[in-house]
Amino acid sequence: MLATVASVNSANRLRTHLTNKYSISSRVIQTPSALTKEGCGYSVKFDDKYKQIVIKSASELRINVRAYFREEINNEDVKYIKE
Amino acid sequence: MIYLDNAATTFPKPQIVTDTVLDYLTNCGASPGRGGYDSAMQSSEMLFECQENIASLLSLPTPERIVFTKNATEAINAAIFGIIKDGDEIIISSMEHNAVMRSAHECTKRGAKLKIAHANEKGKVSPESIEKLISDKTKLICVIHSSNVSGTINDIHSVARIAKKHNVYTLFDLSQSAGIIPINARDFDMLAFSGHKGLFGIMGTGCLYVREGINIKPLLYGGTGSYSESARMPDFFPDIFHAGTVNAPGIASLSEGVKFIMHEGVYEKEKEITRYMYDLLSEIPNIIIPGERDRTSAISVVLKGFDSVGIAEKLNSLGICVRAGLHCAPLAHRTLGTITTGTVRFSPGFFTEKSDVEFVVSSLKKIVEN
Repeated sequence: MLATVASVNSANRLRTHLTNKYSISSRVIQTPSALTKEGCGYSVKFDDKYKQIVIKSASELRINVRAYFREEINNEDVKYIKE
Repeated sequence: MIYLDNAATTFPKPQIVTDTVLDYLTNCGASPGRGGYDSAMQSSEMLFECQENIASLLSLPTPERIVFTKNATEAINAAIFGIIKDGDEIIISSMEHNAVMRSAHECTKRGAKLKIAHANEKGKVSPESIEKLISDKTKLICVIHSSNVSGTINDIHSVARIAKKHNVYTLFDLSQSAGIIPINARDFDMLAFSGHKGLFGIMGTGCLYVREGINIKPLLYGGTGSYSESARMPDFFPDIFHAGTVNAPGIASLSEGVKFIMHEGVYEKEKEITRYMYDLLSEIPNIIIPGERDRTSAISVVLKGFDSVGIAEKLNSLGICVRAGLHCAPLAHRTLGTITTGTVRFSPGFFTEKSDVEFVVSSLKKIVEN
């Protein structure tokens, strides 16, 4: 799952918080172009089961998550479903 | 060579700082926030970690509100011009560096009013003298934490309390104190400091911190790697102040410099070597040392009957690096009574040895005696 945020700095803050406070592994990636109207965004990629913790973490850090996208992979084709 | 100009920039740097710059340029090289490939992401993480390290050192609550500038002067300009508008008043102390003095003066050309709070003959500005100048139009108070001329340490916590009472913002210049003395800056509004002085980064690094809740305009406009489709600058930190490519190798060096300070505990050594030099210099006949004994590492001296630049030239011929003149702080020199003579400034650092200090002071004695 992807949590899209405004900047790479916000993404790194969220990733570090998930690691340090909840021992959750996540990764910062560049947001796929199809998912961002504003262009050039970053996302935190994490396992779907941690969504509630990510929401809580973003709230704790006062990071504005623009949207959450679930990934659906068919063969090599990835579809993003907005939640 | 004996380097005693650490108030201008620290030298040498810790080996890890030099190694980090080389490693960054050799093995990473990417621009932070400008791509999704591995080295660009590593670079972004490094920048983030540097903010975290600085926040830890200075007890700042919001690391993302630390932005990187090319030096303290740029940070000071960003703070002053980002806050002051036509009709506002700005108060500065009479110990300020030209970075503040010239910026504040420029504000007067743009319709603001400048007031100067006069420090005493030791270079200390009293919070009460600042309070007397505050009016309902005062927007910002700028005070240097530690003088780059006399090393005098100002009570910025009291200044912050007074400013808060009157609903006025503060900007403190920590260029000569960050990394030199312990600072808890948790409750401060805005801070500007060099990265290449007490924090051991390389030249081309500086920082501005802006407390959460303060609305400030950016100094520069341009690409940030975020919200690229929008014609407007992002309004969130640090992107609001990161227009254009940042000095990533420099920030990497700064991050390691800050870690070095936290691990090595440099404060006691800095204090000890400064006191040692101050005490030895005090023994020289006809020497005047403005300021107090308790100070950061700037020790400016006047030797009666001798030209400051001439002294520095003679020391240079012996391989001793010191700075003579007005140190870009004419207001401070007026306050200290040294505007006509200038001073010779000795600024030892963490890597200065007592034997270096002894050689320099004995050399100075010989120059004076001959």
